[in-house]
Amino acid sequence: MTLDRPQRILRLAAVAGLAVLVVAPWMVSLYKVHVLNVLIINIIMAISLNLIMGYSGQFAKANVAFMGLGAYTMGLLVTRADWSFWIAWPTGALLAAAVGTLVALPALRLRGLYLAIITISFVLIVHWTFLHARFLTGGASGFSVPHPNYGGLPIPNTQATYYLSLLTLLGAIWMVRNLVASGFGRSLLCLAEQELVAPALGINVYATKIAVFALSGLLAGFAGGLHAVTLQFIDPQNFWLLQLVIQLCMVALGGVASLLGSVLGASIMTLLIEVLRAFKGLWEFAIGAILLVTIVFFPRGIAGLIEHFFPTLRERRHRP
Amino acid sequence: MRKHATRRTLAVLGSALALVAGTATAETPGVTDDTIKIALMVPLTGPAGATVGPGMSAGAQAVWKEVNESGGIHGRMIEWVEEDTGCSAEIGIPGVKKAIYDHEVFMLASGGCSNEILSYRDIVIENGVPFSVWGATNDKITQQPNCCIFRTSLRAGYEGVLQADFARSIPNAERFAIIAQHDAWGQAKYDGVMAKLTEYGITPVADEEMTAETADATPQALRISKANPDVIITDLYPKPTTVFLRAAHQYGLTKLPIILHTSINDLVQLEKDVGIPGAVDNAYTVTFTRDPNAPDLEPWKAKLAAIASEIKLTPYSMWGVTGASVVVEALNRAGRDLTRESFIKAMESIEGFESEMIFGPITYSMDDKDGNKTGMFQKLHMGKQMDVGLTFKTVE
Amino acid sequence: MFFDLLASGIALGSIYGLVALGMVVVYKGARAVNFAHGEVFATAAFIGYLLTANGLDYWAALLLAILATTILGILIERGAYRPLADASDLSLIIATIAVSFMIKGVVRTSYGTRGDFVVYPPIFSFEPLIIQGVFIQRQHLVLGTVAVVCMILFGLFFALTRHGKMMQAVSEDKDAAALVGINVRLVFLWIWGIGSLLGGLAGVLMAPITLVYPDMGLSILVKSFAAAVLGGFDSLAGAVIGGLLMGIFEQMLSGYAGTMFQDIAGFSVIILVLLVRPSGLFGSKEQTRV
Repeated sequence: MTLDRPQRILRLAAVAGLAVLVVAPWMVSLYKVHVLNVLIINIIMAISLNLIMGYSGQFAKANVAFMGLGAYTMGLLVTRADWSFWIAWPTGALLAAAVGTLVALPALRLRGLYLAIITISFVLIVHWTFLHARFLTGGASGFSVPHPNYGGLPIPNTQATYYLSLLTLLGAIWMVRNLVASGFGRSLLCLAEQELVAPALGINVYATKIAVFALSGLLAGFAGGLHAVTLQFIDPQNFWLLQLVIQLCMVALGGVASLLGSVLGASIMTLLIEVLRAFKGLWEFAIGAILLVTIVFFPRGIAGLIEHFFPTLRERRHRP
Repeated sequence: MRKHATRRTLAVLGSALALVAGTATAETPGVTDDTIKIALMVPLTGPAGATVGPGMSAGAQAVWKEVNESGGIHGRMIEWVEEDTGCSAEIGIPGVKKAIYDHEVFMLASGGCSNEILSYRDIVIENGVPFSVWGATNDKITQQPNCCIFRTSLRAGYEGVLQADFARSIPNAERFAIIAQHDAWGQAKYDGVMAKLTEYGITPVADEEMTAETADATPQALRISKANPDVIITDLYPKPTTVFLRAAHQYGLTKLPIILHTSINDLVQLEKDVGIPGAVDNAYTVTFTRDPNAPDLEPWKAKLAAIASEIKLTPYSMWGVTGASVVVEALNRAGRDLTRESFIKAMESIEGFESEMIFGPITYSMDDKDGNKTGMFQKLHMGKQMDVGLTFKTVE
Repeated sequence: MFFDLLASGIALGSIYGLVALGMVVVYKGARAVNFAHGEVFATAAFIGYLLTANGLDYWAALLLAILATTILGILIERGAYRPLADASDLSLIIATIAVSFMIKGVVRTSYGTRGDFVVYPPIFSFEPLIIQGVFIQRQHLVLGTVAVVCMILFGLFFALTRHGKMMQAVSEDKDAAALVGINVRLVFLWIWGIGSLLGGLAGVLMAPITLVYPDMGLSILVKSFAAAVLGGFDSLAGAVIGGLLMGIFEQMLSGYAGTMFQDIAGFSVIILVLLVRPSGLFGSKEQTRV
């Protein structure tokens, strides 16, 4: 496989970015480690949402609920049932994937705005359940979550959790890259662009939709568990409409159906919110303005802009 | 071989980090020869962003500005940074980490909502940073073991005791109704009053929920009215309180005693907001801050306006003034050799500290970091707010 | 109790309906879902409050606030819709979300530290009318009447007038409409202006009931959006009926089953309805965009 110049630059940038992320926890303050850790988790969430919204074109917005299910399942199993984090975490992610499959069922019939509102309703009902199932979740006050047990690892817990998030992110990128380049990626593209003719092309629409919801749920579930151990705290507020809108903005800003877009969008949004935190209500205006300018001038987001100038950077996908 | 090398590098890096952290604590963070740096952890965005945060912050700034103008404390000026807590774990945790690790402040002050403080409580205690909490009420915030978190507001559990006892003191009151928000703020207060009622063997005849955003409280009012209570206890933000009282008035519920809580201390304003004559006549609010319309507090209105023009004497700005004065008192007591330990010792030595904003004195000790135990019930009488005491009586 | 809950449900539903109506008008005319609509009515409420609080006559303030939001709608058309008229529906939705962030930032900044909320005086007093033992707020009556009148007026407008038909034509096929000599740009400007005018009207009329606060847009918008989807999203009558149903479900369920259900009552019903009727109650079948 030969790479042309832009591809080499992108690869170099990716390696450099990764190197920065690997050494960062030893160079910057614990506050910045926290911000970077949240940034990594947000990228995983953006990838998870992009899988449904971008790659397969389904206007479903339930991911923040999957994230919550992953976080609560992990947290409750660890704190109430004394499970090890290493078993509780994947269990939470699997549960989120299973619920994702359930949410996919109405998505088999519903589209567009109808799919949007039924998934938003789902998010609100899950949030309401976290709030009201007090005997289990502790309600609005939330509960503390301990660090995972890293055994004899000779680094502090905060950094260890950071590296765990980074490894998970790399796994997610690897998975989605391979998926998109495979035959499954072709089915997804078909779903996104020509859902009505997909069956005629021999694509099992039902199976494809269910699979993509399950995968997206799985990623969100893993991200939820990581979020909980990074904050060392779980409460319902983290899994509500506001986070849903912000994650949507990450995907739109970075670019739909693009890994590069998910990475850039989530990074920019996270840093922007954090940098502007000192400017009170103004961050809302700034985020709105940046988002609007991006969408108006580069409808396919920042990744779309980059790909426009360097077409070879476009992700390889099977075309039907 | 290579694996070993990586492991060793990591170990070296880890211990290097520990070393850096070790040297940082050797001298007191946030204290220089002529300054003391304090982080004001206040919600500036989120559900309580518009009021609670700016109010508490302005109250504190008014106090500290005055202190600085008269020469500071033992030759040091108070410097402050505001960090938004957003009333949430998501924004509060990075906020507190930024204050501790990046701003390297001497101490934290104010705090916003209970859930947000609970989410970063462990970080504060691990680092041994003194934290003076001014508004949040959840019992767990100051629960032992607790090296360094002090509170000037009433603990929710205790406020619940006051509400429950007051309700019980109403002659012939047997049927109790409660309506509360079930978010983190309301839940702390709701749990407090329910714990006390349960202790008395009382089950409320109506137990209703309302959110801060509820636009119409007819179902709540109807259900309470159907339960035919003798008294109604409310734990609602000022806005839903307004919405609830309007609906309650329709069904004659405002003829019953209605018990409010510490976030509402201006009944004159409440009556204006509700906009229906008579709807607040039987409202009794428990508060630890005094009537903001009292003439002797008048000078504070100008001091607050000098910080930000729209800040009024609300419970929030009054909490800020109270808390900031306690911090000043402890800094004074700690003397010129200021360390976090000497400050905590100084806080623990405070006994009977009085502020013109609050009813009772503040007293801390090593095992009790809830310094404020004085509440007062007030009600409107002829357009003025009157003290009632801690048990029910009709004001004439 | 039943009739009291019904009356309050209708009252609450009129708010959702009137807000939904503004969204549906923009959708019918410009094929765009305006997620900035919540900020549009919040802005109207806030401007109306500022003007009345500064001593301006009640009705003058009301009219000026509505005028201001109409202009806001036109600005949204120019700044966010026109440049994206040919972009994907998702881009358009994101653009309106971006606009909503911007407006909310401005409102919050100018709101400053006024407190949790500010009160907006009602048109009539808060003393309710009592009809057959059921309490009805006069402000609710105004809201309900305005919602129904607007629905009928706009229904007639789209069905009978030349301008209305022009708007329909433009929304169905922009290029063909331009070919037959319709000034497409001007029509879109009108549609966004009218949609926001409806939002402004809803804002100043609901403000005395919901009270005014910087975040008032979100929760009411989500419920109104849900109501519009329930009704079918491209049906004016559907928007108002969907709104009323949302309001009635909400109050009935919380009145009988428990007030803890008030916030999700409407959404649970929506899930059930959409599982049975995937295009809402009155939506046309072909309508599957976004």
